[in-house]
Amino acid sequence: MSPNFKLQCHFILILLTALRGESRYLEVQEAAVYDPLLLFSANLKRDLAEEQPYRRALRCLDMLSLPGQFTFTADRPQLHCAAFFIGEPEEFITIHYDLVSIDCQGGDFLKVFDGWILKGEKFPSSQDHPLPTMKRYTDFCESGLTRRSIRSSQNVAMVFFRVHEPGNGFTITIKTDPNLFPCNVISQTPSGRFTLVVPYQHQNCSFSIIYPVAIKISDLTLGHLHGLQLKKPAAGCGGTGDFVELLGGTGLDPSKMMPLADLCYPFLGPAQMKISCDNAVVRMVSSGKHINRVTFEYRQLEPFELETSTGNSIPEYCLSSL
Amino acid sequence: MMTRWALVVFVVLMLDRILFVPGTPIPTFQLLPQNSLETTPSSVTSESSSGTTTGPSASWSNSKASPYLDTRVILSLDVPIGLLRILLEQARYKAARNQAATNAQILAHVGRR
Repeated sequence: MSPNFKLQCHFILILLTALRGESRYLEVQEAAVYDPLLLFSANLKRDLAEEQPYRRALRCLDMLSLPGQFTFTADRPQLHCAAFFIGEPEEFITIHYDLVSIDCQGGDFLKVFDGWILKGEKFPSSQDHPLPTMKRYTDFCESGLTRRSIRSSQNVAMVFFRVHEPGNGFTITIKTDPNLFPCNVISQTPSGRFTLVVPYQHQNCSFSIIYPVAIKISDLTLGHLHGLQLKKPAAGCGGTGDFVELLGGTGLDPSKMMPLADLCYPFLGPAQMKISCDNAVVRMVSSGKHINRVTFEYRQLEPFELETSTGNSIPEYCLSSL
Repeated sequence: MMTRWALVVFVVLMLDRILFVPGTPIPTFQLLPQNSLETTPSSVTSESSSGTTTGPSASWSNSKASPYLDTRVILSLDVPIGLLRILLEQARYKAARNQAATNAQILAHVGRR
C-alpha cells in the first residue's frame, strides 16, 4: 500500500467517523439545525454559570473535598465535632461564615484551625508554618462576624465546633483560590504525581501522603542553572543548606517523623523508596538562595508489599505501627 | 505559698473535671498543654506567655488573670489516622458523584440545543 493511498484511507475514515457522529446527532435532534458554535454560546455559558453551588448537611465528624455551602444543625447536644477540609494541592481554602447560631456564653464554640491537627500533631508542623500554633486558631466567639472569612495557608484546614442546644448550628461556604507555588500539601489521593517548587523562598515545604506508599523521585534540582552548568549549593545536608528529606511516621506532624532518607544533591533519574508508614512525607528545606524543585510519583503499597521486606525499604520501623 | 498551692490544686481539679466526660463516644477533643519550647521559624516572633488560651473559653476564662498558670491549651481531635483515611475516601466518593451529576447536567444542556 503506497503512503498516498494510506493517507487517503485515513482521510476517508475520518470523514466517515464525523458523518456517523453527525448522523447520530441528527437522529436525536430530528429536524434541528446543527450548529457546533452553540457549544460556545453565551446562553449556555450563562446557564452553566447559574448552577447552584454544592450543598449538603454537615455531620459531626466530616471531611469535605469540594467547595460549596454546608450546614450543621444539632439534633441533640454535640460536644466533640470537627470537619476537615481538603482541596487540590494547588488550592487555598477559604471558609466563610454565612450564618452562625450558637451560644458562646453557654459553652458552644466554633474554631477554625489553619491546617490539620490530630492527636496533638499538626500539619504543617510548627517548624514549617509561619504562625505559632495559638495564632492558627480563629475563634468565632472571639472575633464574631467581624471576621467572616478565614483563608488557609495550604490545601487543608479544619473547624472544631460544639453545639449544646438542639436546633442551633451554623452555615459555612467553602471556596478555593489558586495557589501558584504550593508549599505544604496533603494529598487527596493515595497515588499521583507532583512537582514541589520553592523559588527563592527561605521556607520548608512538605508533601504528605497519609498512606503507605512507594515514592519514586524522578528529578531533583537544588539550585538554578547558569547555562548548562548547575550551580550547587554550598552545603546540602546536615540540617543546613538546600535538601530534600523523606520522612515516615504514624501521625501528621513531619517534625515528629522518622527521617528515612536525605537527598543532598541534585540528580536525574528514578530513585525509589517504599515507605510503609501510615504517613509518608517528602519535605524540602530551602535556604532561599536558589530555585529548588523535586518531582516525584507515589503509589499506594499493595497489602502483599507491606508483608514482605524487599528492596529499598525500612520495614522494621513502620511495620510496628500497623 | 499556701494560696498558690491552693490555686494550683483548684486548677487541676477544674482540668480534671473538664477532661472527664463520662460516656462520650469517639471522637473526643484533646486539650493539650502547649510546649513553650516548641520550635518556631526564626522569622516568626515568639508568642508571649500572656497570650490568650483556646478551647472552651468559658471554662478557661479565669486563666487569663492567673499569674501562676502558664499552661496554654490547644484543641485537637483524638481520632486515629485510619479514620482520617476513611473520611477522605468518603469525601472523594462524594466528589466523584457530584462531578458525575454536574457532567450529566452539562450534557443535558448541550443535548437540548
